[in-house]
Amino acid sequence: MRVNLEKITKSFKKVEVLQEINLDVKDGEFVAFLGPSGCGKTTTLLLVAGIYKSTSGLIKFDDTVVNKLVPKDRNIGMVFQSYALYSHMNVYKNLTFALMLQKKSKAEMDKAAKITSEMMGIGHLLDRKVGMLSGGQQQRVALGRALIKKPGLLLFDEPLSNLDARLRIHMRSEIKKIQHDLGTTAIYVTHDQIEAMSMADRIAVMNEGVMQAYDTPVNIHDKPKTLFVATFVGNPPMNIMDVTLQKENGKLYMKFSEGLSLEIPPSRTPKVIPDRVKMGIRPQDLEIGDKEGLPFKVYTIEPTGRDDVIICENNGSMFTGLANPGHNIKEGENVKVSFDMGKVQFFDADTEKSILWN
Amino acid sequence: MGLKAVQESSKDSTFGFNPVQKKLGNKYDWLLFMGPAMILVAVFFITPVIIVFIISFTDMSSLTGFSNWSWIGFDNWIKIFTHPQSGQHIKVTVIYVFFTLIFFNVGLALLLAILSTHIPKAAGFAFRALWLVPRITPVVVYIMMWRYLMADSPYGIFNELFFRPLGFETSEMVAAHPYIAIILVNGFIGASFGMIIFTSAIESISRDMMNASLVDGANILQRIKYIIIPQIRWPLMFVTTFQTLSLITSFEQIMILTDGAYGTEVWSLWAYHKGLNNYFGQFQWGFGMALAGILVVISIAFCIAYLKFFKFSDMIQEPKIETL
Amino acid sequence: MIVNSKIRTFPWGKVIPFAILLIFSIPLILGIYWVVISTFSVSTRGLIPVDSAGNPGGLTLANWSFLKDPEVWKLTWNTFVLATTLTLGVLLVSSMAGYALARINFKGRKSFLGSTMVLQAFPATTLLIATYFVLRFISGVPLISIFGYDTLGGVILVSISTQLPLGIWLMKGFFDVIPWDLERAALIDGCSRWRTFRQILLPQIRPGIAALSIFSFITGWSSFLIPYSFMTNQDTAVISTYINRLMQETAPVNYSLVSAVGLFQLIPVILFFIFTQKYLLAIFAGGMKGGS
Repeated sequence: MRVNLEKITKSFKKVEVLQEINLDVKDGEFVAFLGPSGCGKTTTLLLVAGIYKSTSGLIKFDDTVVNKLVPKDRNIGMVFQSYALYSHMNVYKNLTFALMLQKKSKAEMDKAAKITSEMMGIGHLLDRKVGMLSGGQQQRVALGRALIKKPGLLLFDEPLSNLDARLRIHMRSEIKKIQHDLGTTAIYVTHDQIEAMSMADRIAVMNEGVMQAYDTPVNIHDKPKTLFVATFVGNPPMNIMDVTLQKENGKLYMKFSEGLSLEIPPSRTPKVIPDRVKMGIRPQDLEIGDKEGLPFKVYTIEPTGRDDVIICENNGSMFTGLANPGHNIKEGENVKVSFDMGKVQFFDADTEKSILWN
Repeated sequence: MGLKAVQESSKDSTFGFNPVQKKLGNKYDWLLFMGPAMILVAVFFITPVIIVFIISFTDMSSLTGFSNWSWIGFDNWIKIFTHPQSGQHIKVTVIYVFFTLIFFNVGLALLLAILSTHIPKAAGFAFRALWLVPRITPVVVYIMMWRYLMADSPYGIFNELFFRPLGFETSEMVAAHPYIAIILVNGFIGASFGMIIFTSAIESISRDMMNASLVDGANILQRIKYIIIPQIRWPLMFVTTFQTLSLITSFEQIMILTDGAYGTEVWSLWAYHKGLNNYFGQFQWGFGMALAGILVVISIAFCIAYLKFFKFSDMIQEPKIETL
Repeated sequence: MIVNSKIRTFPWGKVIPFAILLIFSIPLILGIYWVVISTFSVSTRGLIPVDSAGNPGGLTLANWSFLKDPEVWKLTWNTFVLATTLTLGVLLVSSMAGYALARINFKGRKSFLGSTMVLQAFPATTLLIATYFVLRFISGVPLISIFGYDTLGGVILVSISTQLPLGIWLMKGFFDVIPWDLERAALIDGCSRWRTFRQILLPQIRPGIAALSIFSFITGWSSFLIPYSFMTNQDTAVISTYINRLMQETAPVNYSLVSAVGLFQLIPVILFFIFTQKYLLAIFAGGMKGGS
């Protein structure tokens, strides 16, 4: 099932929480809505589900406008953050509730419950009350409940955020696999970028009710369309600095206030150069050493196991870099930071949009 | 894994979107739920209020019946102000409401709440339960209990247990002290309402604040004055206004205890007697409605004040499922 | 040292509040004690049971002989019918309205909520005379005349209405705290709003239903003024009005009999109360919860 959002807006009591959201989801695609809390991603999901009513704009499923269709007629399945299981029913009844409402026969319900519960690995729990299950098991029941009626569209509202870290990683791949094998279209809301990056075919990054970017995970990461996307996606976050871009002898240079000037390769040359420019560079794309580069003082070092995160400081602005644990950088030391110029990003400081990828 | 089976079985099902005979919108779902309540409110609250005012402008009575009555304008309302008994009814109503409210429904309620939260939990709970008994006892039984408590010797319990042994003169206390009687009887019911509300308010005062006051060296009286009372001023206001209204308009207990004898006919009982129920079977519906109308006006005024004062509209949360 | 001083100091802080509470509770304790004693006595002098000559003694079961009177059982049945139908009616109407007010967005929702709060404070007794006219009118309409004046149906409807504001507000409070996702899940699973209400949400508010049922039942069982005002027919009278009649009799009132019938009426209430006081305390405190 395809999903199209056309110029969707949403206001709660005059407060606009969604501004002209346009989105297309292909049949069988897995799309993640990523953004900080309050960005409007769950609101968008609930609009698709028919729980909220859009203030304007059209929602289409396979070209049919569904704005006025009540949730039960939308052929969707949804998994909630709190699981929202029916606590007064056992697992079997939770799973087959939707089928019961469709007046399916007992035999059909039994068969569907058996297949779904075995797929979810909860086949032995059918008689249990859901209150007696562990968090992971409840999660599986919730997922099974959404799948059992073979919906055309699966909606996930931060389904993994109540699980502990290990189980979360496990369920992540399991959900992805099930969705892929069944070929059901899915929309997945999360504030966890790793979840979004690892599961989704495309990610819609949202902030303050505005869709910032809608692209594949790789493009979101490597070709961020806005300053927000650049800083929100990626960990540790991208470093941002004010720079000036200047042409000299047909070559483009990036100049820092400290006087350093670096040549920009053609692959990173913007077509138009605005007055004020912000440069962005990911921590893994810079090198901290004592050769040449921008002068910094090491502020603090945070070991993470795989790398050490080096936080440097220069005139009040912070800069983050990575170093192998074998390095000999010390706190308080003066260092020089050099950039992999093939990886820098440039943004218009006024519109906060990328001048490379728009 | 039964995944293959699901894949197989899903092939034959409508996996896409297939809108057939779908119900559009759900704008009027609420009517189904609100219907019965709206009908009852319309029939038994709104209609009676309208009737009160309409009939108060007629001379309808058991003499005119329902067919021979006529409009008489404001005569009934004017009659209230000129009626020789109005003053007496106002006087007893004011005394009754004022003293019951101050001494029992608020005063004793507060005392009970504070004391029962300063003794061991189980004992406090037992006392509060005991004080709820009057509220749940059938009113007729409750009044009979009081009649016996206040009856003259040799039956009356107060007289037999306290006054006679101590050499005081005994009396039929309801007749001798009718005001005290109606205040006691209503006060012992009314106190429990405030008691429960104050108790939960006191128990929700943070322990840290209580402990801080102890560390600062406050004794129990100082704690009441500087911590408890200021902290529960909202419940205090709520109980005071709520109970004022219910006292002004309630007459059930007085009706059973004295039926208005000994000068205890409060305003609402007067209206009830005139309009609906008296010994002589002669009802002045028009005049009774005007008497009740005054209470309705007071009640509505109180209610509007409530809405403004307690800002109920701010506390209403918006439903998080919308109608399409 | 500290231990010693603790032992030696008399715990005034605990005893004084206790003593004051006890003193104020004396009338209640004496009164309840007397009600029980008198039902087993020919007569009483103060709290002492006496025989017909006025001498101590005179314990008897004669007062309870009314239990053999079929009329009393008919009245009990009437009272039971009143209390149960009232309870069912209040539960049904206020849970539905409470659900809509808590959970459905519709025009006029806020004003209805406001007026429900107001109606809670609005004393229905001021409207008794006017309600009499409404019931008289209903009596004249063919199909619904079973809810008119002098019928149990009419008394039940009026009683339900007076209970409604509290019931709606209480139910709304219970619906308010159910997670929205639960209802959303049910809607997506294919429920209509009605089905969600009945199969998913009602089971979630069982404590609220219990509290309101108990409260309504006790109120209905004990109610006096409404049956007294709107039911003159002796056949459909309830225990409360029967006791009142016993007390109004001109011949010397047999207070021991009145007590016995009163205790008979009180016993179910007390039993209910003992087993459910926790819920009931919640309902009394809950009256204002929505408000502050």
